[in-house]
Amino acid sequence: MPTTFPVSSATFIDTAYLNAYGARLLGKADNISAAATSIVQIPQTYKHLMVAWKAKGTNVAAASDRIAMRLPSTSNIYVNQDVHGVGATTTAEEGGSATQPDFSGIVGLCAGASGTGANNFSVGQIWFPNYTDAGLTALYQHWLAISGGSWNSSTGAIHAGIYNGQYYTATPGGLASIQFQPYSGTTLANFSWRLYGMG
Amino acid sequence: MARKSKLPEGHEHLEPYWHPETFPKAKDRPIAHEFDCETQTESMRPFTDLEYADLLHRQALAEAADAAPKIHPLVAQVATMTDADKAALKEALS
Repeated sequence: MPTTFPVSSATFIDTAYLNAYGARLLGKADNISAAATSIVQIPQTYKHLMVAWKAKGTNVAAASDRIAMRLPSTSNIYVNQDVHGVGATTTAEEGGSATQPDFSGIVGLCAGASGTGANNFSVGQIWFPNYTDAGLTALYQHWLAISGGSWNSSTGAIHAGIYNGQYYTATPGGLASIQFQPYSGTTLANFSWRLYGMG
Repeated sequence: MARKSKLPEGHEHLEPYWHPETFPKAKDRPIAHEFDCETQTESMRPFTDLEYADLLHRQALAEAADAAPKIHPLVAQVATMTDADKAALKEALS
């Protein structure tokens, strides 16, 4: 890494430096209400990807729902694991199967239709470390995510959790698209996201 | 009757739900939002055949989870213990 901070006369931070060491905003969407929101044509020129999201909730007839993530391009999600707490109750969950990838990894919780309180949201971050690793013909990769938030202001309606999932790319750099959906509901409400590429 | 299109490779688990000839027409399907990083453009579009089959799959998984008997976490934990740990637990509880 350079020991001096490269500054050109045209830009405060040199573009080459930013591409090599900084974070670049690759895409964004705000307050999407739809059955799903997809990010496609993800560049394969970075080392890591990070998604930051915020959601109001889903339309499932329950207090809460899960945020499901699919990798519908050339990647298959095989298993996911999470440890999350809602109120004072902690739960560990595992989903998916090595023989039957369900394509819906869980990356967080959010409100359901009966739990949505005014001005309450859930948030999360998802990391895809080394998503473009090359040198092998096929890779089992992992994502890591954290999520937290509340679906109303009552005791027991605040949550936090960590999430991990294994996905498989037939070729290095196969993570070309990401899709978010409600896990049990059919509509995701007020979902915002930013995708960053790093390194 | 229209010919059933081929299930894309790598999605074999969706075979039971892959009946595109019976899926709703595009105008009646759920709407997905899409952002293209290459063109930096947003669009709204109906679910594809694959997304619709996946939706049916997710709904079936959710129904199966609701119908499954609920096991208390402590019971599930005991079920994974070694015989030695079970014996120690039994002794501690006696």
